[in-house]
Amino acid sequence: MKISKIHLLSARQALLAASIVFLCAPARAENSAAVRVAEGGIKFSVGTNISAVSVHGGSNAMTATVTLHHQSGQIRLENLRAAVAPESFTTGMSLRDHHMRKKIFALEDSTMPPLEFKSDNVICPHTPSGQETVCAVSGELALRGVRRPHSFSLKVRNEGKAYRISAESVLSLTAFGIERPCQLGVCVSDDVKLKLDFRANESVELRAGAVR
Amino acid sequence: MRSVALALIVLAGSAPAHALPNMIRLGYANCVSCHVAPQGGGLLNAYGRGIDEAQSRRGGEYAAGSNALLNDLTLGGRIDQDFRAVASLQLSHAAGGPYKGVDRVRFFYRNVTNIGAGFRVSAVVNGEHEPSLRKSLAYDPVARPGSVIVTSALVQYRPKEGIELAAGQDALPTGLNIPDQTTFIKSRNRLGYYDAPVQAKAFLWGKRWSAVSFVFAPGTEEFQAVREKGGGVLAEYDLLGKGTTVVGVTTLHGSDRLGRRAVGGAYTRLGFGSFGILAEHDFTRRRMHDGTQPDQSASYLQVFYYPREWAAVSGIAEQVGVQAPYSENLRAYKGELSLRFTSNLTIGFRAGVQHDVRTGNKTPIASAQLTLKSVN
Repeated sequence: MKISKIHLLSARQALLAASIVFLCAPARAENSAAVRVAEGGIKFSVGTNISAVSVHGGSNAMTATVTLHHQSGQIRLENLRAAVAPESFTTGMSLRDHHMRKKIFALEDSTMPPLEFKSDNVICPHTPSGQETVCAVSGELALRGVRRPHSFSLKVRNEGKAYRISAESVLSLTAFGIERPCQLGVCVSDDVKLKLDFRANESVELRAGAVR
Repeated sequence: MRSVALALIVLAGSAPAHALPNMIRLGYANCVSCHVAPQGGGLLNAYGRGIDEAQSRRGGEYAAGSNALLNDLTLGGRIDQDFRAVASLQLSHAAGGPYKGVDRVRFFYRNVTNIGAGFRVSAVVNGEHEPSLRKSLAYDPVARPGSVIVTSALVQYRPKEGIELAAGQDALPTGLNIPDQTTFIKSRNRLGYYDAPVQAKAFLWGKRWSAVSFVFAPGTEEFQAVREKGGGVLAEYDLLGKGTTVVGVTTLHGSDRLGRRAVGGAYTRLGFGSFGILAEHDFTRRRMHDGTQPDQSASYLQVFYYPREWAAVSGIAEQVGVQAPYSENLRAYKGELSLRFTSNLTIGFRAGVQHDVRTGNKTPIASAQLTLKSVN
């Protein structure tokens, strides 16, 4: 078993980008490793009590670290840590952004702990070039300082030297102790859909063994 | 040439009291999110007033009932109303002729009174000293209205969210529902400023779709020859389910003493955050009783961009073509700038050119508009 340790700090990475990126790496070669995240983002959508009104937003700022283990036909992710700053989420309307941060992310003292996801051990299958695979990443999500078990469903398409990756999950606000926000009679639903979409490119440095 | 100048004056006109389909950029797929009436236009609901304020230069929170004078007139919250004034200056120039300026001041009073049990009545009363007439055509003559007119008077019933029935006098439902009633797709399809037939309509909507069917009969402002009756259907669907990719179709059949018309159209509203696209194409089949068949096609394309939430710039291209014996082939290209300083104050500018393809004439146009309104 070979081990690669990767540190990613990119303004364009999405919440679980790193995890999926590294899931794909074993498809390339047993002793090579990693990919880097590019062109990615995390988006959310939530319905309201008014059928015609829903709220959509997202962020393009995330940091992540992970340790990747290559195994025959599989990869194993260890110590995945990803975080998104609440301030980076936008909905297209500044007042609505303010409401979101105040009612979703901010503590009573107005501080905003980051949205964090961590997963200690995940195994995903090999992804042949030109094909798509599905994988589940389970871990722990922290929102407004409250930690709850959480999992994402991943779709990974191997495009050769790059990977097109999407991940989806549903977050329950009440599970994190957050009351459904209301504004002028419009109240958002409890379930918030999260979606990641990004492209991951193979890292030349890692493939060459620079990081081991 | 004279007709060209007149057309340009009409072209330069604008309608300030309607819905903003460019809200598609923020995921508002239809009008019912922010307007009391699902057709759009008219008064905003409380949420819409909040959005209206948020999308202004002043920004900030909307505080319901902060206007003491209006609060005294709401009969305990049963009445929503506002007053609106629009002042505009329009310039047009016929080839070889002088520039012409038209000053226009309009006042509006809009009222929605909630009766209870899902019922409400609404009205829009307009006062003006200079009408904004659409072009009068041999097959579609236009009457000059009085200086005070009622453009909407409806009884509406919403038994539950997603269903509304309405009857009375109003503008007919239309696809793109752009606020400018002088564009070809509206003014050449009897959707101008004063076109408000008596009608009954049923709105249905869900998370990703909406539809309206309607029947109509003559209103109060038409010439006797064009007192039209008919019906139609409009339906639209949000393709991706995010409120930003709406496509729709519309159809209408009508008949009057001059002949029959059948209108079919398709439209789309696309939003991409700070910018978006609005497009519509309509075809009108006319069979006049005098044997003529002045069929018509009209298209509209707008690309808009919001560099700030309160500032919008847009480029517009449109065309209308009419078959013989009333042959026309007009194209117009316009740029617009709209600045919403507060929910009470908006300033708009427009400049462009209209091209008569048949004669080769190109005529510049320009207008400026100041809109003031009360907010309750």
